[in-house]
Amino acid sequence: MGIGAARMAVNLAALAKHRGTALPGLVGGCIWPDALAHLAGQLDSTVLVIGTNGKTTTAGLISDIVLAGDRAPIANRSGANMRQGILASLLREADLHGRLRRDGPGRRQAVFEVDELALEQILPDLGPAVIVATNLFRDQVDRYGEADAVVDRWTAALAIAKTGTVLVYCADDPRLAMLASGTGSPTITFGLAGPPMDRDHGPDAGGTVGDPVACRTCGRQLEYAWRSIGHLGRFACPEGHVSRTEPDITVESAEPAGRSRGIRIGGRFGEGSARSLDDGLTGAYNVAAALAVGVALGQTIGQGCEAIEGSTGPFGRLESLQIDGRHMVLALIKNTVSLAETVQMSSMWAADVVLLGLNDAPADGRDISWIWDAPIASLLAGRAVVLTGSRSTDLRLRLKYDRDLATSPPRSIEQAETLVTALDLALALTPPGGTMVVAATYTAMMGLRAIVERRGDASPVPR
Amino acid sequence: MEPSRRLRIVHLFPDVLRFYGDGGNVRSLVNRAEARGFEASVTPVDVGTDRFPTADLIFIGGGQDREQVTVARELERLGSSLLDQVTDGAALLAVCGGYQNLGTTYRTSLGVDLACLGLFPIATDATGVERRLVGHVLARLDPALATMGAGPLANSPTMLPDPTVIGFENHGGRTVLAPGARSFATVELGHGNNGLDATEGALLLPGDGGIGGLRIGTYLHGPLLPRNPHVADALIAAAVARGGPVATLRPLDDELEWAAHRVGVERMRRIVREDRRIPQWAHRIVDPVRALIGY
Repeated sequence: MGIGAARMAVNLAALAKHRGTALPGLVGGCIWPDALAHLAGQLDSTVLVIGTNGKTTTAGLISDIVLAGDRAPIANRSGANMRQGILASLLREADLHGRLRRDGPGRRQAVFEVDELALEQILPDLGPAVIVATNLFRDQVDRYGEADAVVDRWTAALAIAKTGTVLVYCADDPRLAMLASGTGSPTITFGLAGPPMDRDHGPDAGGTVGDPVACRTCGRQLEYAWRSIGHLGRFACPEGHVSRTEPDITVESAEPAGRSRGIRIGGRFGEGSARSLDDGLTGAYNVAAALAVGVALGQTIGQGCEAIEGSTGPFGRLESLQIDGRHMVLALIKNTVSLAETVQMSSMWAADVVLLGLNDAPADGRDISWIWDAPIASLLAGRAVVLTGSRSTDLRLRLKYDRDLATSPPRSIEQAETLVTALDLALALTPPGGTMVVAATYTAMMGLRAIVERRGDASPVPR
Repeated sequence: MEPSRRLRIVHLFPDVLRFYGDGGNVRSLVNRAEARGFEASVTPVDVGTDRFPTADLIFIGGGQDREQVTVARELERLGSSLLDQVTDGAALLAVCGGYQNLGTTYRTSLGVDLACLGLFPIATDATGVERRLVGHVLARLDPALATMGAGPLANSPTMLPDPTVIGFENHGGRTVLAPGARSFATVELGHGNNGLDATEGALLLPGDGGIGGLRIGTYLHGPLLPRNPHVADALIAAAVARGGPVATLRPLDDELEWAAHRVGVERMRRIVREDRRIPQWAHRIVDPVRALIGY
């Protein structure tokens, strides 16, 4: 009974065209508490993607890799990454008797991205073959507490992972390296082949973007030979308790300046070449993470590279669109690091207009202080800037106090009350053939993306 | 005595204490001082620095537990210089972790008692905490700060006689003020020092306890000063007075600052109004749905 009712909830939600893809999972979980364990038990293999930035993009790439030869894996690609969202994705693939549909050949696999706090709730039920940790940046501190607290929770969660679960993680992230050293799981690591070429990578680079990270054994601050994104880099505890190990799978830009999307893969599992989904280091890391998962599942680097050829990114994550004859780049910002990386990549976009959307709903993070930690002047200088969102006044204030913008200011700054007026204003300011960059927090991005979609100029949001 | 035309800001341990946006406080102080023609400088004191530079205004921000242990060790070394400077009239702003570190006692979440300087008459206990105190805060500024000296707050007449202060708090530790000690503000919405007695932060006026400098300790991030320009100005005015009579600062065009302040106040009141409409039992269903639709 419960099974059928839970499945019905999915149909009802689909009828109501409900965008929040987790609602049926919420209902289903209430009336059929064992649903997740029951459905997940029928999967042949499961990959969980955890981390702060790049979860959705990496999960998409992994889906393309595990797809090879099999049917498309079950996934929560639209970012509903709590327990109920994952359950909803499984319910959609189940019949009224609670069996995952198996029409046609191929194994049933799943690739789920998992919220930082949901891992411990779903791990026992899902029994994944691979858990991949992309990175762990300071993010939504109002929900998660300190980054160290997330490491503690993940450590506790991994302790109950089934034997043989492979942990794939970024070797350049000291928090993940310390996490991995505390587990008995087999590991495969990925990381940069060497210091990044697209930026200043000295030991003190990055200013306030990178978090201070202390050794979990002695409490002393880690030291860096070079840095990539935030606190990622070649790190070592001054007392030798922990240091970066050479990654099993390395990634580097195919061109010395780092100014192309071509990337080279190396390391002990073989070489290959691929294309990144974005213009920055984040894209290179995401590809390396996905290829490492492929290796953990028995595929070669070459097979992985081939499988992701032609992959497209998820909506709102550095998506490129054409609208009214203008080029539009959508970048999701949600914390200091993602804002800083967007600013870093924007040097390649020749933008005429920048639309910044800052909301502070729970899904965005209610604490918006992070806007003060990333250098944003180079994104805005000399360009027409449109601000919107529930906290756009805070953005405006942030710009007023920016010392670099004081010497090279934006061409204009305007505040728009609603997302619709902001979009119209930004489009009006962009010349035909010109480029506008949209950088917005989760709910602002969802809203803007929906407006663009309604106007019929973009591909629909994947479900 | 003619007030100094210099404002020497010392930023304590920015290498380990740089929780969400606290650097914005330093930017606010520098911009607002320079707009009044003061020559502002910022000297960071990183972990391992052996000499404490001369300061008119000292800022210390927040960090994680592990970083606070590092800070406590550093304060054992540099603490007496810090104490001398504040005694001598340097103003002090301590936010969150820095506020806890400069109290009388601080017990970390791991149950370790950290050495404290006692610049704030507060005791903080972070052990056995089941729930962090997280969220928006709307509070009433202590009137003593509003009327300090000639009153730098005279610049913001709309805020008198009952000025508000807003911010975002996120702390595990519960802080209790010593009997008779003055809080920085009285909580209207939010938790403050401990979620029980409606006190937020600690305030010691110039001369209190024989110490010349104005001392403000608070849990409010946001960052605090850009959206609360009256607090920034109080700190600047007290810092340049160096324990002497506090002069009024020239008013600035603070339209944006107060607009952001008002947005904060209104949003907080709205969130609380809505929360009150939802019965407690319904939160389990309503909150996840709200998170999904982003409202």
